[in-house]
Amino acid sequence: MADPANMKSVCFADERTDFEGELDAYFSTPPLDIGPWERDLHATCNANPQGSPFQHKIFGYRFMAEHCPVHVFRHCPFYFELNTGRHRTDLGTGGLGGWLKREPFGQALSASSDQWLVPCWERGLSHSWRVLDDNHHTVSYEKVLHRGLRGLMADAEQEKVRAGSDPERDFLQAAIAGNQALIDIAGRFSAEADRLLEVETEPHIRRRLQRIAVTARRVPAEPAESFYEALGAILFIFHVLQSVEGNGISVFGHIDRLLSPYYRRDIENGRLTPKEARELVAFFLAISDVRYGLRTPASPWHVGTNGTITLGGCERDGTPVFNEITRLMIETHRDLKLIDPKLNVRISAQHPPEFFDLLADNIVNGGNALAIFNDDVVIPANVKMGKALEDSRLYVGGGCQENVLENCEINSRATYYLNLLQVFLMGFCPDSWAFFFDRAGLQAARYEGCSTFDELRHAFLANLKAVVGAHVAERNRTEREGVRFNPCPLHSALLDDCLAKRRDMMEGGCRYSSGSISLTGIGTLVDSLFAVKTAVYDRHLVSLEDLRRLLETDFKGEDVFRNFLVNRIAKFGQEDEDIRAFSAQLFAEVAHASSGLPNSRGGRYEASLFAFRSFVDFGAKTGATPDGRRAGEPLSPGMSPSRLAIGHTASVGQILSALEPLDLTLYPVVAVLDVKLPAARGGLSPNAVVPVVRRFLSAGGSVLQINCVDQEMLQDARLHPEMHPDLVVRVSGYSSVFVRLGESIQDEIMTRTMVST
Amino acid sequence: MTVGRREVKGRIFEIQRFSLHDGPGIRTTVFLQGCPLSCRWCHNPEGQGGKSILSFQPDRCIGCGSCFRVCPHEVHRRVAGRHVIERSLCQGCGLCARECHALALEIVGREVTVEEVIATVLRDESFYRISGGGMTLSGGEPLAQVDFTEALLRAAKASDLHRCIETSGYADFSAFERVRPLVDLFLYDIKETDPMRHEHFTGVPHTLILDNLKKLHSRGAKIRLRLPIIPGFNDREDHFLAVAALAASLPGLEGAEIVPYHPLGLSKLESLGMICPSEAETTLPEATTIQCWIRQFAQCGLEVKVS
Repeated sequence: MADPANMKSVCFADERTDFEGELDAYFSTPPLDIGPWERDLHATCNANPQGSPFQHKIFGYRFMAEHCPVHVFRHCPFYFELNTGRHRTDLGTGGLGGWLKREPFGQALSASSDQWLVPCWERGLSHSWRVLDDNHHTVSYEKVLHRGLRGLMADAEQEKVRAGSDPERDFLQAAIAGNQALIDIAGRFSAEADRLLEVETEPHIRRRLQRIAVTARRVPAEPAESFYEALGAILFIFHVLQSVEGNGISVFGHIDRLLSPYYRRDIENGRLTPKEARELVAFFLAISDVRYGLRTPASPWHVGTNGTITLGGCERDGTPVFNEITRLMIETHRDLKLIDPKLNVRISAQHPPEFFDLLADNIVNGGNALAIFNDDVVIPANVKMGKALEDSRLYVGGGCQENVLENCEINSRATYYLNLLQVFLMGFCPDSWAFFFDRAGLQAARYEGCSTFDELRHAFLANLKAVVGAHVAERNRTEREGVRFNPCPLHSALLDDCLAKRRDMMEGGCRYSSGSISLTGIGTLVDSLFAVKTAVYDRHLVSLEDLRRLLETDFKGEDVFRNFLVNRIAKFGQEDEDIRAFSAQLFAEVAHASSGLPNSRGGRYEASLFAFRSFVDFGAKTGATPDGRRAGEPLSPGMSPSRLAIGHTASVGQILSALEPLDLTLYPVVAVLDVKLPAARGGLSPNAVVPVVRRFLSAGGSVLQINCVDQEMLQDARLHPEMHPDLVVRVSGYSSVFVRLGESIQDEIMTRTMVST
Repeated sequence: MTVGRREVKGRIFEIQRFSLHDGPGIRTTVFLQGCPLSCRWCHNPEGQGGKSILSFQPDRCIGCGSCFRVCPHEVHRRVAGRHVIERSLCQGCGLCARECHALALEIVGREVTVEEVIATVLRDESFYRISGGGMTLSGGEPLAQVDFTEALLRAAKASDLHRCIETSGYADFSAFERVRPLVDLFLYDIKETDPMRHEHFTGVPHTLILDNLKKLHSRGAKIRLRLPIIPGFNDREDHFLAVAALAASLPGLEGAEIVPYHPLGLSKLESLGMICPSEAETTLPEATTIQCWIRQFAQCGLEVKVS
């Protein structure tokens, strides 16, 4: 890197408009037509029909390293854009990098996958990506930073000596070729910067291009030696690796842990000032929003699940991490009002109070882009699954919150969602699910004739196990072919212990190869089962048969009884001792029913409760449920109580206390609780947020998402009041549920919020 | 027969958890029923009387007619397709509310024991400990149920909770004396400084209120002034000046905060079948208006915050 002492610091604020304009102009152009290139690649494969998928991957790596254009942005100090024809909103799975999946074998596999999955989706039972999870992954940035890609290539060369079979040698050779491709691509960034320098006249941009030209010749081929190089290496790997491999990366790493040593060394050596570091971090963080078009009104992609950074947590030996970089990342994210990357913040009672204050400040002043992970639950949860404590301590959140152990795990999740309520409703009408059970060679348990509630509960759990088992079997069938579908030797080289095992991550090369089917609607499920227990078995208010009819007709003409179910039977999230005990038992039973099965990569399935959008999408396809929820209404999200449950008595304390009886270490891939806090006049005080976070931790929560109520939500609440029964707003002197207020007051609060934010 | 302190009963109409504006930190505010004042702008009209009141929210009514069937007093009638409530006949027995599963009908105001209230308050104990919050008694007028209030304060003290009372100041001073050792902070309302207007708008003279304030202050109680500002009633310069002078005469006050008027009480009045004062404002003051009040107070020499 050029001597920063002579370098006028780059001011992000002055350059932001140009930066965003330049990136937006580039990324909003239609994707490159890669058709001819892909035909070339397929022709090469056809000419070499005996070649292994690894050899085919090598063709691809070399081809992309040679042909795909690199782009250096004048207004950005980093180099990361390799154009492989990925659509702007692509999550690393498309473009030329995914070419092998579109070979005849891959297409046939996708088609057979679809044949199985589509009917399940149409009936609202499950939702899944085809074949396997080719997104949400991470890499060992630590390896890249410390060893450089050449170090990994040397490891692979060493292993080649020990390789006992052609597939092992092929794999290692492909890993070497992949790393070489990345080094070549970095070299082309250097050349591109040199080319731009021929015409560039702006002094600060010339300095920037000179730095890129010098650095890219060496990083990430060699270990990073400075803060700038470390940041740059992470960005390069994140973007280029997924483009080349056709396998999505959504994690920027445990970034404060990784970067802090570089930062300190540079500061001590006088190579970096805190201000320069802040500028670099601003550019680093600001790329995602504009790259993925998250602020472009016309963008079809609104969900913003493109990247996450993990902060806080602990070192491998358990020492808490909270340093200058933690603060720098959180404050910069807040100041720039970014959407992406999202902040996955790991915290525990061992962290200093300043960390809690920083988080509270972000929650109050930030853009609701933060999730809080409870280390004291997530780490033991992973240990329970047989993972080493030292490895478990280095977990990171994935694309949303689904976690994965950095450095050594491929955890396939967030692509496979199961609707718990559809499974529950099966017991009423098993015949209508014959298509599913017949093809799995199973029989559905039915509720008819269950003389006790326990019988019914066991029938449900039997169906859940059967449905999970069938889904796992199908996923195993296709995932087993992953190594032919799209082997990932390059990605594998960046994860322990693929090189040492001489095996691709797609066939179990990683130290841990877990999977998860995320369960949707557990709050609604607890409420529904408890309503059946209460109304049918304990109080004999309705027969099982009559209840089935009520559900089938969506409570038509039975509004009184529906309201009785909604308002007079205890629900998860309420402080009723019976429902607390009931929820604890059911959460545990559901976890056991959905975890432990082996996957195709030598790992096991783990339980999880996160929802992405499934609670809405599944809800739309799910009939009425015994908690009084009407057909088509959303299910409860994550592990949160349903909207019906929190109703008119929402209180943060009440919702958090629902966590207390639960054992969420049974959900290693996390269970997400959503909490909304009131937007107070003049802003909510961070002082009010810290106790919420602390109580979440001590109550044994897993992941917490706090929303400070925003304008859009208020507007939506006006249009759909029934969807926001828990939206608490500060009126004046005291608070009230927003939808209970008169129109004029709602108007005022909406105006007020708009003004004050 | 003596009743254990925790079995002492009183009337409340709401317990508000995670309350951020009724004293320091995160608090649980207990709203006690019964008030000797009848302020025209009252935003908690259900707290005025001492009885259970039937509240009806028509938007929730599903028209099932259960209330027509169960009411022994023929309070509920259908007139020209509309649900009409003959409140003069209502005894507040709650039979209809019990049958109203849609929760359109609810009984506001109930008798509870100290034990029940404290159990609810203690659920958020960790919030208070970390934020410096605690329990606030509001109303209504807490001192109108001084036995209950004192017992609640004692129970809260036994659990080491910070304790606030929000009071109109209109009570026999002996009531203040009973609770004073148990209260960490008095939130003391000053509604109007002009004697005639005070009596006209609140129904009671303000001499007792001011006397109590001075006595309470002279005995060393911690007091924060709460200043409801109601456009058209007391947003006058002479009132602001008088408040500032009053505050200046009470050295060591724990600050003063204005409580901007909000018309929430109006929609409550409707559901409670009460009559809306014709001169009532129906909109909230603008943020700029509130800033203007703050400046006006500052010009009078009183620094105020917004509750």
